[in-house]
Amino acid sequence: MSDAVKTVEVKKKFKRESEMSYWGSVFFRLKKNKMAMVSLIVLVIIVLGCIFVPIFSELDYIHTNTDNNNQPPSWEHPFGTDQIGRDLFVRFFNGGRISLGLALSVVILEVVIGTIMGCIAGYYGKFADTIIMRFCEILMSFPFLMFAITMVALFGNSIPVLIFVMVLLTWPSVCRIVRGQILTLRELEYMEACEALGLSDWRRIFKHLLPNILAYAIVFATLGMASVILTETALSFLGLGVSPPTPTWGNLIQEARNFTILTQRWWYWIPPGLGIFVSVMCFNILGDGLRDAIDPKMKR
Amino acid sequence: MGTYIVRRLLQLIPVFLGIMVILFTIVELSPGGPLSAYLSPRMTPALRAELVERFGLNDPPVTRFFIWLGNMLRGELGSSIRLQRPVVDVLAPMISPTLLLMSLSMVFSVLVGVPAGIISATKQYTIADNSLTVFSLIGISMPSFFFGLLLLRYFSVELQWFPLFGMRDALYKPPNAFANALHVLHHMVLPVIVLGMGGVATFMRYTRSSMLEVIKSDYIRTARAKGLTEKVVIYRHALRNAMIPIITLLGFWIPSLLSGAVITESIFALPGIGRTAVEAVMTRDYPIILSISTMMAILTLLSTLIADILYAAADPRIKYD
Repeated sequence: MSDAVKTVEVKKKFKRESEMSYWGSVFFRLKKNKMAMVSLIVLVIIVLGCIFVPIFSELDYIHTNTDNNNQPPSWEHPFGTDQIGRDLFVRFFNGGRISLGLALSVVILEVVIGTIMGCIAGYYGKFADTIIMRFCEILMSFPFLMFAITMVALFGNSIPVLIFVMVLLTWPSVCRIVRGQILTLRELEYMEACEALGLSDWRRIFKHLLPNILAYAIVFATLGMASVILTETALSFLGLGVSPPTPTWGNLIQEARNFTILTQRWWYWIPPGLGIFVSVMCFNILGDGLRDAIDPKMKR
Repeated sequence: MGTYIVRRLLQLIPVFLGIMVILFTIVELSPGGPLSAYLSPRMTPALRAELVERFGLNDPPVTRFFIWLGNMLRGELGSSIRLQRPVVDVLAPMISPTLLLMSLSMVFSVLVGVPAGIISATKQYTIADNSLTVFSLIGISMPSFFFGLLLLRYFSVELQWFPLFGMRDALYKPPNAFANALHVLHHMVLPVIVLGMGGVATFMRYTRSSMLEVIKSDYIRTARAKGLTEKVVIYRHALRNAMIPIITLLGFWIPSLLSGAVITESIFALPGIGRTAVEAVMTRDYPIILSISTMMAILTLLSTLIADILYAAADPRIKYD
């Protein structure tokens, strides 16, 4: 009897999934992945903290109080204070704002530019394809960090320069993937139907090709968040990213290059380090989970 | 095979030229241009004109590009602005520490990552596999500078097992070559772990997925069916094919090692190319920055070339015509 109940349940489930929209069924499969859901929740908590802590806190990230410097964590200052008495809890969440916000803008730009260029290269082929792919190859042959360092050296370290450098160096990999997808999609029958219907190029690309690529773009963006966060914080750690007093997770850790801080004041650098580590790991898990949910065949 | 290598080499030329054009262009576009390190607000227009004349900046950009390219290719890298010494002299002693660090890390990544990947593929979905997968996830998510600081904090400061920084102690006089090597290796343990950690995780992931794919194939079933032991099946038959993508990864991993070396050398104050690059950026020492960028770009191109050739050589199924 229990077997019969099970079969009915399974049937119900299948029926439900087949009735769902594309994104509905993706989310349905993602919800079954516990690790990915936990990561999503952790990320939401971090993001909410970064948005609301700086708004509701009485102290701001540059408020100094020299009577109250170098304090270990307490109720008043959950992450302690630094050598000029700034509250590190507030600085942590302000740093997260910059680090995550910067990563988000880089990822959005790289995915949009990469997708457009990939569509052009894949759809029109020939001359456009050769030019774009050669350019991608050149950009991808640059040792990433070295090129970023060169740009920062020449144009100074400001947030726009950082975003520009990272977008410039990362869009080619999106472009390659999108181009590959377009090349296969272009040969499918429904594109022939578009041809027969006499649709414009613009409509074929945006209405008929792009929706098929969107899923890959989203997976790429999620995994891209992880790598961009790592790059930005590494640059800031080297003193080549966002410059103080604006905090980012990278330049908060940089304080630990001071020997006293490294050995005696763990509250300076452990929280931002964990902030980077945890959010990068969550983006990686979520990205893997999304990939499996979008295309179960790709699951390894 | 010979023609394949030659053709791939020829394909590198336009890419290399493209890289050089981009490097040249960003120097031209930067505020102050190539002169900015020499300029000061108190400079008279006459002096400025003299500098422009001396550096040949009156020529059109195209001419200057080819002069610069020619100099770079002939190894005339100019002289460091900050140190007032030829770039070649500044960089030459820095190359061997960086190469030592990179090669040790590569060996460490392969020796740990590949066996771990094999174990996790052959024992799929066991506790061993799951914990190795979690470990590799941590490995690719851990920022190397944070990991480095944590290791320094515990192994160098707390336990004092390893030195805090540098390649050797300033006052240490090694009695013989062996003691010297041991001394340097002792200093390299933590840097190699930090730089190699990402590699361990990546090599493990690739080995695992490649191995899983091979194990599913027909010829492995045949090998099992004819009664070979599991050891022979895995290590003689499966491993050889599973290693092909890993060989390619070896080549592609070199550029990441270069980026990683910049961070690792900065944390552990190793006298290498990466740390020199960061110092040069701080002082806007263009000749050094451009020389290092060019060197690294060439190294990156060569390593992808090597990866392609190794791939073609390792897999007879690949046609290289």
